Amino acid sequence: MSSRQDVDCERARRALEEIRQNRRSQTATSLAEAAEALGYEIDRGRGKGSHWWAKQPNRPRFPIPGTTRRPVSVGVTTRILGILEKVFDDVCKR
Amino acid sequence: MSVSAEAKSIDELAAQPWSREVVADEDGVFVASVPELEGCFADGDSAEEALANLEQVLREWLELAVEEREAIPEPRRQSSELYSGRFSVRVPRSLHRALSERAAAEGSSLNQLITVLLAAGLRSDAPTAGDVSRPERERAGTDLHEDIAADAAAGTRSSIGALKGIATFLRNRGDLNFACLMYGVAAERIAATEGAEVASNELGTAAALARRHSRMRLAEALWRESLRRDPTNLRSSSGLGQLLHHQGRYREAVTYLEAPSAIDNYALLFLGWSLLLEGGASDDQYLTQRGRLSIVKALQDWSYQSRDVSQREAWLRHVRRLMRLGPAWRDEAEGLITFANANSGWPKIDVGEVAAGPDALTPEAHGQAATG
Repeated sequence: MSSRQDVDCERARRALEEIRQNRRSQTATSLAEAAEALGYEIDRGRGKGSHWWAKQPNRPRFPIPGTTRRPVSVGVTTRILGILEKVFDDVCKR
Repeated sequence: MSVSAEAKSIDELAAQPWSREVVADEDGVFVASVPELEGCFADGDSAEEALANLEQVLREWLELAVEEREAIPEPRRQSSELYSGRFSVRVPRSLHRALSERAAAEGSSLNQLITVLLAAGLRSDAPTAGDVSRPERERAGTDLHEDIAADAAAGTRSSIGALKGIATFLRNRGDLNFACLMYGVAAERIAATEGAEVASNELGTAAALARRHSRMRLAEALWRESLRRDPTNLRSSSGLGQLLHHQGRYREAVTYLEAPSAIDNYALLFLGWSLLLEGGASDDQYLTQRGRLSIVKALQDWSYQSRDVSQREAWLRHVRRLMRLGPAWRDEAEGLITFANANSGWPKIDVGEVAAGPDALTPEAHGQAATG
């Protein structure tokens, strides 16, 4: 139940910009899409359905808990945004 | 440093002493995390719910790390946070009482005393319950001085206990000056955490210790710092005023003794003496009269219904000193003796006995008073 994505920096940049501007209205799906744009694969098979995992070798993995909370809480969105921004800087700004 | 993931099951890994942090976000939702493991967090509508969700996330985070054969960071609490500096110990009641009595006798807290005794015990060659030899302890890196110094150097609240422990250790070794200095440093930390009033009391206690051991300049500096922190500290004001009086600095003494004299009979007595002597030196009848009234009131209150015979001689020294100021003062002194004979529980005082005895106050104060 997971899929590996290629990095798409332009899509990632737009997705991160959208998250930054609308941190209170992010869903699990929109966060997962931003992660996928940066090469993450989304593992939907863990967490008993309460959350997904975004994972990628040599990058920080993180849970996306939005499947039971719509939208995802601001605190969690901010943490995920922080991780993705670091990965974006590392992958797309070199 | 990392945990060997292969050598441990997920249960064992999850049971490691991982730190937990819980914060509320801007909307009041709680986010719990394991700071050592990036990306290990969970949320909940309460702190308890967030922490419960975190347990599941932590297990999965570790499962994924093991699957990916990643190095797992060391739990932060493994090395230092396991030792909080607090633990409870059951001891016999008799030992508890003996420790409390000794702490009271030394003017220290029970915590300070036990800290010093434990540190000294660990450094000694005395046998321990585990019969661990000293060389083994040294190989294990036990260095209490360093540990306590490290605690004291930290700018946290826990450093206060370490600083006071060092101060008590120095005091017991006879290094009074440095002990008082260390109490002063502890008071700085106390001011930051518990407020100026508590710090002022701590400085006042250190000043009284310095005064008892005749470190006059140090006592004065500590009392002044105490009053700088809390100008309404009447105990420190009285202590400083009495010190200044004994140094013959009567005018200064009066400024510090005025406020506490309303509630502290000693302060009233020394205020009276300072006023009297300052009035005599400057030929100010008003000051002299105020001094006389203060002394008489303080000595009457002191003797009134007092049954403590050990106080009788100290009281008599003040009356004797009054008597020697001149014929007018002799009448005043005799009035006080009559009052004491009628109202105190002391053995009867004979006027002749008073006139023949030693003078009041300390020898140096007497010398200065005579010149004043």
